Amino acid sequence: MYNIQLILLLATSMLTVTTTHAAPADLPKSGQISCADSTGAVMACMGTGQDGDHQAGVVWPSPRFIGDETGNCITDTLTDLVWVRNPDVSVRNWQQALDFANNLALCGSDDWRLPNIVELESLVNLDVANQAGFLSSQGFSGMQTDNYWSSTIYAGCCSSTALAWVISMGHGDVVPVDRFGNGFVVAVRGRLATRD
Amino acid sequence: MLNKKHLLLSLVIALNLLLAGCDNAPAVKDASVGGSEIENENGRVSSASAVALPKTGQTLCFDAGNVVMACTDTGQDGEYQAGVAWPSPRFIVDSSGNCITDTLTNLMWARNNSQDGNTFIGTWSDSLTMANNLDLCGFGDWRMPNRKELLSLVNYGASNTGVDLMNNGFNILLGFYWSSSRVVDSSAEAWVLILINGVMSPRSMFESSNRFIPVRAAQ
Repeated sequence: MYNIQLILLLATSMLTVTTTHAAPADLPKSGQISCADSTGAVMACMGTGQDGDHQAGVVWPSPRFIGDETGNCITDTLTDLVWVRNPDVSVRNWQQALDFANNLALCGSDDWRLPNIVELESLVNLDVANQAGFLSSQGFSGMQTDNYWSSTIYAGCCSSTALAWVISMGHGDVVPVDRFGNGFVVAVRGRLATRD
Repeated sequence: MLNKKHLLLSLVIALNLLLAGCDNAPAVKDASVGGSEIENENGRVSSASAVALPKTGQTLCFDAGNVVMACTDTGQDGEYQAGVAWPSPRFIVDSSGNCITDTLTNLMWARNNSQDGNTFIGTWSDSLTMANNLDLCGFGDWRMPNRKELLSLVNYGASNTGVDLMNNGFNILLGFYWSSSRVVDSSAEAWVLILINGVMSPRSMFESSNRFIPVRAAQ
């Protein structure tokens, strides 16, 4: 008589071999779900090869953004980052932005910081023309259709001025701008430990 | 004579056959993959998220005069370096030399700017079609990358992100590269990455000298 436990062990070991391999950093979907022709007219996506056709990437959880009980902080369940929900509308230069975010105490935490450019990009939804408007629909308030600072310095060559990366929360352009210029701040915390 | 022993064996065989069938099904890449619980600097355990964002590549900190400085207490990207570490090696070229896989994102990219005399360049619409119809390295499921995928190639710690890719195995020219993500408003523009400085900005869909790097999901 076969040992039933041995057989079950064999069966379950076969099961584990079939799991798919996740990348260290699987990319999220861009958000774009529609397709258009070059006149801007909406068209069916099938076969176009456009972003809205393939929609590559990890699905956004739903709901995606969840506010905390204080009303001051909001968690992005897509990335596990926590953002200031209603950032102030003061303009700051880059150094002021860094200092402000670093010194922030909110929602019982003081480990806030200025987001890096990859973290800031994670807020961008490619299906909308107005990023501030999208974030507003997700629970944020006070977001401006203007440049938001990242903590990432522009390491590119040959600029006479010191630049840092911003994302414009109008369309969502990713550009380097003068660190002594003005921009807005949405501070972030979380996800500092790295996975292996 | 059929007994319990035979029945159990049959069940095990049937189960494995079933699983083998699932393996051959096309990989549905929309399943949530995500973080196991991790402990951050404050000792707090993070809940599982759908994605783990990668590091930017920035490792240094700079003062107002753009001179390298110690990172401690600056709050700059180079101090926290938040995000998933890049595997090393990160990019792996295949045996044909025509394809290169990013082990950070599990995306496979065309390594060269052309294939069989067919250059990956054109208007947005022509480029989308070219990418869709491509046969390369034994695969036929190529496409144009979306904005998020194209941005994943940028090394924000490099002085020239295009040159950095070349140093990591790509054989491509500097220039403007299409994404499959259009700019959602009335103008006919798509998001384009400048593979020199890393800028991502709208460009007219009718520009005919922009390039693209075909991509597919590696397994």
